[in-house]
Amino acid sequence: MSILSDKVAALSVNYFGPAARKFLERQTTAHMNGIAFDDLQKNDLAELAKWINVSGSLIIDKVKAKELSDKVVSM
Amino acid sequence: MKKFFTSLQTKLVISFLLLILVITGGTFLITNTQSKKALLDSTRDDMLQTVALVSTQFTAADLQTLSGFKAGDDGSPAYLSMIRRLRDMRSLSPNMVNFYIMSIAGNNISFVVDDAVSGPALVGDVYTDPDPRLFDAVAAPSVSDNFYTDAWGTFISAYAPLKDANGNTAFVVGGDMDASQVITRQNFIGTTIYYIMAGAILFAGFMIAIFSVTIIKDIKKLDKTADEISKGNTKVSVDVHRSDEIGDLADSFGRMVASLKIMMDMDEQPGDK
Repeated sequence: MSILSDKVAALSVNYFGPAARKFLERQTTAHMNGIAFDDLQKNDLAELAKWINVSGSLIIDKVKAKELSDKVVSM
Repeated sequence: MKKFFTSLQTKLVISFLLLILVITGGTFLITNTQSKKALLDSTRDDMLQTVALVSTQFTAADLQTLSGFKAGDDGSPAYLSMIRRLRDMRSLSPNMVNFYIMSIAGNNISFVVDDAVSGPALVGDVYTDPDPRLFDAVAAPSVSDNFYTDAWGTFISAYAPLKDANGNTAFVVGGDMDASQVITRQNFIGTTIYYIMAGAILFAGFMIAIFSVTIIKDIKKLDKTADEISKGNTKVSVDVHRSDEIGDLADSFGRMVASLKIMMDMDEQPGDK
């Protein structure tokens, strides 16, 4: 469990609620070569942000998904 | 679907409209009553000053002349001269419709001079249904408390004593204002207030309608989203963008819905975990 993944999870809770971490774990394992969310590195953020925008738009409002994506990529 | 009378929108609109009606109705009633009373008081004051001023224009010689008038003198030069003087003074007060001079002996009031153009009282005519304030004028200028009606119409009148050299009241001069003039002014005030209030009600009603419709619309969106989620449709999302309490509620609700959808999707695809 890294500090960076905790920060991303904490930020995402504001958009996805208590299941945010599960959502993020799924994005990293399914779309980012199977890496564990807890092993998230700084150079993974851009890719994760992209999938937050794509997959997140299916769950929450597109505007909010884009908003979170922008925040993650700028971390 | 909620019934019309139990819906939040109906309750909200009706409550606000009732509130507006009560407030504006009360304001209209008080403002209308008080402004009409103020206008009447102002008119009474003006009339009192006018008639008091008229009373100062009569000299001891004039009172002597007035004392000499008796029944049948209505066409005499002295009488006509007195009429002209009253009419000249009245021409300076266009709101006054009539000036007259009366003698008062106990409860008996009789006309001495009346400058009315149409149907004037003649010398010696007894005034049978006087305004109660007329008797007060023996001591000091007085004015009608309100409109009163006599044989000549409905008026508001002011009176002032004509005192002789000894300070005794020899006659009383009176002046009438037609009630319709005051009522017309009062009605103008009432109508103006009415239009202002009506405009305020329409504007407030319009604002309330917009306010309630936008709130209810967003609450209905939340309700519809919850309904869809509860039926297993995970494709819906919360589409409410506000910066007020409803917006905060929508954000909280959106997070719950998002989590629920994530959990439901994971249950459907257990191998993905």
